[in-house]
This record gives sequence, C-alpha cells and structure tokens, in this order.
Amino acid sequence: MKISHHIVIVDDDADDREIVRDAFASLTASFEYTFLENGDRLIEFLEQSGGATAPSLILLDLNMPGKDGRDTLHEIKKDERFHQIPVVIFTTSSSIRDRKMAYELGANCFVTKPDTFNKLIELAESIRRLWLQ
Amino acid sequence: MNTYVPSPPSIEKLQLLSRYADYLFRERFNELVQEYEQRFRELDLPLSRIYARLEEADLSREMQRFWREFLQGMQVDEPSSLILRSIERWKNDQHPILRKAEIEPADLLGMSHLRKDILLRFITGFAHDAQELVLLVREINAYFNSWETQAIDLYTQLLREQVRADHLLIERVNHTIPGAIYIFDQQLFRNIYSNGKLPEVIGYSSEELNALGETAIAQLIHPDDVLLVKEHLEKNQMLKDGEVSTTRYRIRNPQGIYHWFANHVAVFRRNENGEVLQTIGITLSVDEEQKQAEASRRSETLYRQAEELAHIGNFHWNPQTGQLQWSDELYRIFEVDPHQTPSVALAEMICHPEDLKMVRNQAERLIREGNKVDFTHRIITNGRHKIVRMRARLQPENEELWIVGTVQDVTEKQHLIHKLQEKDILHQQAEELANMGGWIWNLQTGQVEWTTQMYHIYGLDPDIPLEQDPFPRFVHPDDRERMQLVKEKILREGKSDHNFRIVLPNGKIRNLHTIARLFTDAEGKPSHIIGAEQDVTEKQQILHQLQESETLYKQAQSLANLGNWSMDVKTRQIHWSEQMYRIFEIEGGGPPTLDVWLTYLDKEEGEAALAYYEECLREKKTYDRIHQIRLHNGKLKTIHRKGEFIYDAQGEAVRMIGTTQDITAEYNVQQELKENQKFIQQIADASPTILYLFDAEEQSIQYINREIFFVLGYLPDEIIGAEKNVTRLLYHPDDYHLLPGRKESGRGFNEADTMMQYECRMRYKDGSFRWVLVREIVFSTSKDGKIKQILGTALDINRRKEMERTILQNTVLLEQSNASLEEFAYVASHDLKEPLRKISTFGDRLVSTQGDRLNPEGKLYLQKIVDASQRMQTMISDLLSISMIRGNTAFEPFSLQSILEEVQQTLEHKIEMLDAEVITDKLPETKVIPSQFRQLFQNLMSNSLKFVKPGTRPRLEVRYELISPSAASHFGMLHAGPSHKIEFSDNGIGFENEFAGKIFAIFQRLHGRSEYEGSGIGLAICKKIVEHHGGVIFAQGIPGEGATFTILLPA
Repeated sequence: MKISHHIVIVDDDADDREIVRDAFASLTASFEYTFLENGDRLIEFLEQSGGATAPSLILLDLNMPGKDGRDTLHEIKKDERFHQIPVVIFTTSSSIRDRKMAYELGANCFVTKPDTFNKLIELAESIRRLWLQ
Repeated sequence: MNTYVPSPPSIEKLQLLSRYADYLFRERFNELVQEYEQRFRELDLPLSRIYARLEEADLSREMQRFWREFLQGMQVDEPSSLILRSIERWKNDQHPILRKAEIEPADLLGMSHLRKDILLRFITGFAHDAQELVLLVREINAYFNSWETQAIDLYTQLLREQVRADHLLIERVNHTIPGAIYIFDQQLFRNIYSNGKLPEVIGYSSEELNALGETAIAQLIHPDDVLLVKEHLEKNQMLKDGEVSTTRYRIRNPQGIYHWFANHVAVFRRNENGEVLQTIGITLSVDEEQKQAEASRRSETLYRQAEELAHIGNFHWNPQTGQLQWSDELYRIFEVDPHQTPSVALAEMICHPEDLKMVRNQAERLIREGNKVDFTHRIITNGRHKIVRMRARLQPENEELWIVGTVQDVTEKQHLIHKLQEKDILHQQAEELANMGGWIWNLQTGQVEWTTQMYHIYGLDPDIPLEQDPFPRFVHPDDRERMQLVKEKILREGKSDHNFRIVLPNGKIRNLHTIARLFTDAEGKPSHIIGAEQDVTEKQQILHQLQESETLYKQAQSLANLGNWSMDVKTRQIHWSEQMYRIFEIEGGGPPTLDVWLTYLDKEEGEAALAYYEECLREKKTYDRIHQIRLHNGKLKTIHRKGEFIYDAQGEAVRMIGTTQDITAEYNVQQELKENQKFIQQIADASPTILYLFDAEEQSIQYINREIFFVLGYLPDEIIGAEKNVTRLLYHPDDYHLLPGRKESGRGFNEADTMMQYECRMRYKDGSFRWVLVREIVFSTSKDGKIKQILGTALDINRRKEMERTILQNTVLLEQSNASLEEFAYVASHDLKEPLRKISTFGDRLVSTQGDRLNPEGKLYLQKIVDASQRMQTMISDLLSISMIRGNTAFEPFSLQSILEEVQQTLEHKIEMLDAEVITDKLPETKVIPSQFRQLFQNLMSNSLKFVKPGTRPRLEVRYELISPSAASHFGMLHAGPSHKIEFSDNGIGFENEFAGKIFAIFQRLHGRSEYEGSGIGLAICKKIVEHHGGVIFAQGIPGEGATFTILLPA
C-alpha cells in the first residue's frame, strides 16, 4: 500500500501555492495537499486535526498578512503536540538574517523560492527524500 | 560628571590615540609644533612669563622636545605611565624649564586645554569615519582628563606641603617663646587656642581652664587680685588695635602656691560692629622679678628702720593730777636716768629754753581745744641738741583727762631732711619718710593706741575710738597667719621688722612696713609693743613698675633683634646699646649726634625723618617710624625706630629714649608677600578660566576674576553683588544638584580634601546657557569641620560641548540612515524579487509546458524575458550584498593567508581549466571581517581569471608588503601607522588607465556583456569592503598587458 503523505502549504500567494503543488505533483509519489493563506489558518487547522491526523510536512512562507511565518513557526515549535512536524520555510527572502532567525526558531529547513520551475521540482524531490519517507 | 578619586585613574591602552600619535609624529610633526608654538605665544598663562625669558630657538627646541617625547611615548607606553612620568618629573623638579613651584593651576588647565586643542586640530586628517573620530576624541579626552586630574592633585599636594611647612614654622615660633600664648574668646569665656605652654607656665592646661570657666577667677586668682583681674577683663573689651594691656596678678598653682604672672593682652579679632571677639595674650611668669622687687624693697625699709624706729618714746600724762608715765625709749631719747620719776618739770628741764613757750602753748591748746598736736622742738640732753617730734592727743580715761603722746627723736632725720631738701629730686621721698604712723599695743589690757597718721594710713576718722584690737579687721586675709607669727616673734625676740598688707574700708589694698619692739614692765614681763608703720604701697608699685619695664625691655631686646638708644634733646647727643652697634654693623663710635644718624638715611628720607622728629617733639607724641638705612658697608637695611620723650618738671622734653629694631628680614618677607599677592591677583585676572571663591556660609561668591566677563558677560562686581542669589543667577536649575556646598543642591564634598569635577550649564548674561567644566576644592573649613570656603575654576567648554553634540547627532543620523538603508535592502530583496521570480518561473513553465506550440521566434523572446528577469534578480542580490557591507559585524584578527588559500580552493576548478599560474606571497594576520575578505579576494581573483588574454597562459600574482605611513600616503592612505599593501596583478587584457577610477563604480562595465559575463558589481563590492576596513583600493592597467589591483589596509 502506498503511504499517502499530507503536505500543508501556507502561503498568501495563490500562484506560489499552485506552483509548489505542481512541483510536488510532478513527483512519482502521490500526496494529499492542504492550502492555507496565513499562520492563523494553519494554527486553526492544527488545533482541529489534533495530534492524530498531523500533517507530514508544513511548507511555510515567512511574509504573510495576518500571522506571519515567524510567529507561526515559533508557536508550532514550542507546542509539544506539533513540534515534531517538519516545517520547511519557503520564502522569497534570501537574507542571512531570516535564515538564522528561522533555524533559531526551530525550522527544519530554509529554502529560498527558486526562480525556475525545474529548480522547484528538484527542490520538491529533495524535500520528499529528506522528510517524506 | 566625574568625582575625583585620589588614586590615579587607570586608562587602558589608548589604541587609537597611540596610532594617532604615530601619525602626527611621522606626518604632521613640524606643522603641529609650529601651530602649538603660535598658540602658546597667544596664550596668557602664568608660565608664559617664564617661557618668555627663553630665547626663541630654545623655546622651539623645548616644544619640539615635548611633542617628540609625548608622541613617541604615546606609541610605546601605557598612557597612565606616560602621565605618571610627566607628573613625577614635575614632582621631582626635573622639568628642564619650569621649577616645581612655578606651576599654577591655571597653567595646568591652560596647557592641557591647549594640547588637547592641538591634538583635536589634526584629527580629521587621520580618522576616517565618524566612529573612529568619536573614539579618538574620547581617547584624547580620557588622556587629558586623567592628566589634569593627576596634575591638579599633585598641585594641591604641593600646596599642602607648603602650608604644612608654614604651620611648622608657627609651631616652632610658638615653642621658642617663653610664655604661654593663648587666644581667648570673650563671649565663650574660654581659650580657643594655646601654644601648649599653659601647663608649663601656670600649671593648668587650656582645657582645665576652660572647664573652670568664669569660676577660674574665684578659684585660682589671689583674692587681692580678683578685682584687678576683673577690671583687666573689662578693659580688654575696650582695647584699641595695637594696644597692649598688661596686668600682673597671682595665680595659685595646683600645689596651692601663688605665683606672680604678667599677662599681656591685645585684640585678636573683632566682629563687624568693632566689638572685641577674641584677644590674644601671653602669660609670663614674673615670680623672680617679683622676688627681686621685694628684696629691694626690704633693703629700703631696713635702712629706714635703722634710721628711725628705734627712736620713738611715748608718754601718758594727766595734766590735772600731773601724773606722767614714760616709756623706756623716752628715757633713752631724753638721756635721763631710768630711775628718775617722769615729771613735767623734768621734761621742761630738758626742753630747749627757746622752745619751752611753744611747747607749753601746744599743751594748753591741746587741753583747751581737745585737738591733736604734732610739732617738733629741740631738747638739750647731756649738753647735746636734739630735735624731737611730739605728737599727742587727749584721751578721756575714767572721767579723767589724759594726754597720750609719742616723742620721736628726729634729730638725724631732720639733718637728713635738710640734706635731702638740697636735692630737689629726693625732697618728695623725704616727706614721705616722715609720714609714719605709730601705735602702742598694751599687752595687758589689749588696748591699742594709734597716732593720727595711723588713722590716715588706715583711712579712718581719728575721732572715732578704736576697738580693742583693730588689726585683725584690716590685715589682709592672706597675711593674718603670718602676722600671728610676727607677734610670736616679737614676744620671743623683742622686735620685728616686717611687711604686711591691709585692706582699707574702701577695698583698697595697702602695703605697710612695720617695725615693732616689745617693752617689758619692771618685772620683765612683756607689757606692750610699740610699732611704727609706713605705707609703702606706692613705693612698691614704683619699684615694681621699674622692675617690670626693665625685665620686659631686656626680654624684648634679646628676642627681637632690638637695640636701644637715648638722646639728649638739647645736644642731640645719642647713646647706643651694644645691640645698636650690631644692627649698624660697626665696631664703635656710632652716631654721636642725631645729625650723624641722619646720614644713614638717603637725603629725602633724612629730611622727612627730621621733620617727623620735630613734629613729635612739638606735639609730644611717640616717635614711630620705619626707615631704610644704608650702612657704611653699603648694605641696605630696614629698621623700625620707636622713641619716647622724657619730660622735666616743667614739661620740657629732656631726653628721648627709644628702640631700634632690625626688621630687614620681616620687611623683605612682607614685600615679597605683597608682590606675591599682586602676582596671584594678576594671574587670576589673566587666567583663561573663571576662578572664584565661594563662601559656603554666606552662600555667596567672595571673589571672582575678570574671566567671568569674557565667558558669561558679567562684571565681577555683579557676581559679588548678587550675594545669596548668585547660585540661582549663574547656574541652570537642572544642574543645581551637581553643585557641592550650595543650599540649592544639598550635595556635599565626599571628603574635605576631595576635588569635585563636573560639567554644568551657566547662564550667560543674555539668559542663554553655556557649558563649563567646573573643578572645586574646599578652601577652608571651620573648626567643627564645616565647609567655609570653596575655591573653584570654571572652564568654558561650550565649543567642545557643541562639537560633541554635533558628532553625536551625526552618529545618530548615520545610524538612522543605515537602518533605513538596511530596511530598504530587505524590502528590495523580498518584494522586488517577488515579481521577477514570478516572471522567471512562469516564463520557464511556459517554455516547458507550451514550448511546442511556440514558433522559434516566440521561444527566443520568451527566453529573453526569462534571462532578463533572472539578470535583474542577480543585480538586486548584488546590490543587496553591497548594502550589507557595513556595521555590526565584528572585526576579528584573522589570517589573510588562510582566506587566500580558501579562495584558491574555491577557484581551483577554473584555475585548472585555464591552466593559470598563481604566485602568492605569505599574507599576514590582521583584523577583518573574514566573510567580506573572502568575497574580496574571490572577486579580485575571479576578475583576473575572467579577463584573460586569449593565447597567453594566465598568470596571477598576489604580492604583500608592510609599508610606512609616508609610503602609504602616496596612495592617498592617511593613516598614522604602517599599512598592509596587497597587490593582485595579472597578465590579462588590462584596461586604459583613464578608466582606473571608473571600474569601481556600480554596474560599470568596460566590456560588453556578451564578451564577459557578470553584473558589473564585483569591483564595487571590493571597493566597499576595503573601505569598510579603513583601507583604499585602486587599479592600474595597461591595455593588452594586464591589470594590478592594490589594496592598502591599516596594519
């Protein structure tokens, strides 16, 4: 039986949500997706699902209206119910400062959004290999 | 604000200042010394006077020496040891020009100010950015603050030593004086100072006396002297300045024995109403003197006794019954047989026939009028003439009338009187001699009879009968016991000769000299004592005074280099004491006359002195003048000449007696003191700092120099006139809390000898405020340790403060601008890149998903869109990385060699591909931000590997050397220390030198994008990195031959 992984993609940019999904979809594995617009939605989602149906991976943008990626990351990682869920920060920023901050808050990975689709597919494949097996 | 703590503040190594010193020494030395010299000449400091004595060349040399030592020292030494050395040199008086004592606070502050100013002047040529500037200014301030603090500290210490020396001198003087010196407070009725000799002189310490308070008079002073002492105390309150009140009295020592003391008192302090607050006194023991006086008085009376007293006889006569009794002495006077019965007839027989009638008349008058009689008449005994004095009076006895009287043989006295009368001067004395009282004391009845003169002596009315034994009532309490002994002595030995004191009804004390003799009755039993008394009070006083003046005079002379002289007013003949010859430094001769004496003065002063002498003579006043004399050996002396006239009976001045004191030394000291005071005044006025003396009790400023006008626009009188309001007038209300000893602040000095330093705002006359640096020390304290006066200086630091503020403002602005730049960069990196990324990603997707449907042209266009957007993303990233090269990252010592090797490894692939030859020197370790230097080296090396000349084996050389500041300055590197020079040269395509500056500009390209890849930002990043490290980078190129990039970094 094929294990179905559940990926939560949190990004205020609808384009990016779609491209990321396309990239993962192009992989051989099949995934379940949840799209959320900001941190508030993510926290609501996690609370509802409880510890039982925790997602396999969260792709989290940093700069979002409402609760941004930093605060959200901080909340997830200090909450014992959720802190084991891998969080990949997926952002336009390539700033060292953001990178440092993210790791300090407990992010499992920090990825700058690539500027070609091919690179994005490569990235999705790396993520899958690292976190979804 | 800093509070000065006596231990020298530690200044850690002032890194920047040390480098700056090196820079100044190597680059700007002559300029600096020249500037300093010029500024120094303009400066008006106390020490300028000393430097003004130097030759110009010497002055220059001295200034060069100073700066050379200072700048070199600053590179080698800890600043604190540099300061210490400079201070030590001053302390040990090793300064080449200045003497230790010549340095004043104004010098210290002024010189420090000037040196600091000079250092600040060249700062911009050295420091490259605001941060370094601020740091350097701070280090310079730290250095000079420390220097000033320690210098002022030393100065205070030197002052204190001087005061201690003065104090020691006063102490020594105190101890050499034979008497007890004290200062007596009239209101507190206690001694507030004594030289510690009171116990030695009178047997009581100052504390013991103070503890007794007013009861000391009753307890310690001889009862006879109590009145006198009280009068003395009252009189002291009326003393005029310069007047000395002298009293002698007896004080009982702890063993209960009275001793005589002379007490000389003068005014020490008055209050503002002129009332005497404190008196200064000296108490001398005069016991010896007193004993001498008594001894001489005794010999005086002995002579008189011998002459007189044995020759008084007495009689007892009843004119009605004719009964007559004689004393033995009368038999002796009359020279009749003691067995003969006394009778009037016998008496008349002896009487000189010529006087008989007179004697009878006197007797009749006595009986008739009841008066006393007192007359002399002649008698003839054994053919010899004698003169007797007869004194008699009526005395009723058991309703009978008796006449009692004495007969005194005054023959010899009369002779003496005649002789004395010839001599005018002794006339008075002779009269006094006759003034004797006589008494008879009947031992059986206890009855005492007195002569009239006795009544006079005792101040009684002769008509009032005496009680049985009147003596005890009159005899001075202290003499009573002794009188008992005298009585026993008379009874034992038959006679006595003694002095004693009586207290008169009016309270006055008289000194009496008595000679008494015991008479026995027929059975040999003591029957009565007959005595004669003479009032010797005045005599004693005269003697006393004579002795006193003699003693004082001798003392004064020996103590004070005092000579005495006398001069005959008529002949102007002068007589000198030995001391006078010593003062005038001649062997003998001396001035025989006033006119010769006057030749010791110069002409003008001589005339003035003569005129003054004549004025004194005319107006009968004391001569008291200070003269300058020129001795025969040419020496100049200052003398104090005092003289009094002695007048004859007609009030004509006959002699002048005086003293001359050599006060040359004192006079010179006084002149010097005056000069010093003037000097200090001038310094204070010339000082570029405000100097003032604040009276903490009055809360007002007592003195302030003129500088206040230049700094704050007030005249000194306005400040002094402001009195209690001065603090509110002068200081910013927010700064009151800083001011020690002011009512408004409640702040005190930590210790009395602490120096306070603080910066505060003072009000300019127009109401604006100015910053001043204030230093204050306690100048004087009251006995209870309360601060009385504060000495302060205030230096105008407004300009410095403004500069500091400007720098601070700029720093803040810079930080703000940096922060906003960072903010911008972040936004740019995120928000600007976002749409570009979309263009790129979707373009890419379009190509991969829809590529088949596009014709080749469409594909190309799409590809161009994607490429352009990606290039723009790169540019944005590059821009961002440039903007990141700044600030917060810490510089750390790091091996450039290891960075170079790392970069070589990164580029290894490319180097191998190009078969490039890389030759490198060993690079040093220095303080850098490693990540930036990694980028720097990588950019430069990539650059060389990029612009290779086709057909030539690429060659890349990295050269290193450490160069001197002067060498570095040729490249536009203004750094005081040595520099690292690193060169990257290649044999690539090179470039035209005219573009050498341009290539560092952002996005500047010398070659088309198609020829060489790259955004054109690499070198801009290099420049930014090097500059951020305080260095410079420049390029040189020869087209077709290669390029060289040179980096200079402060070592």
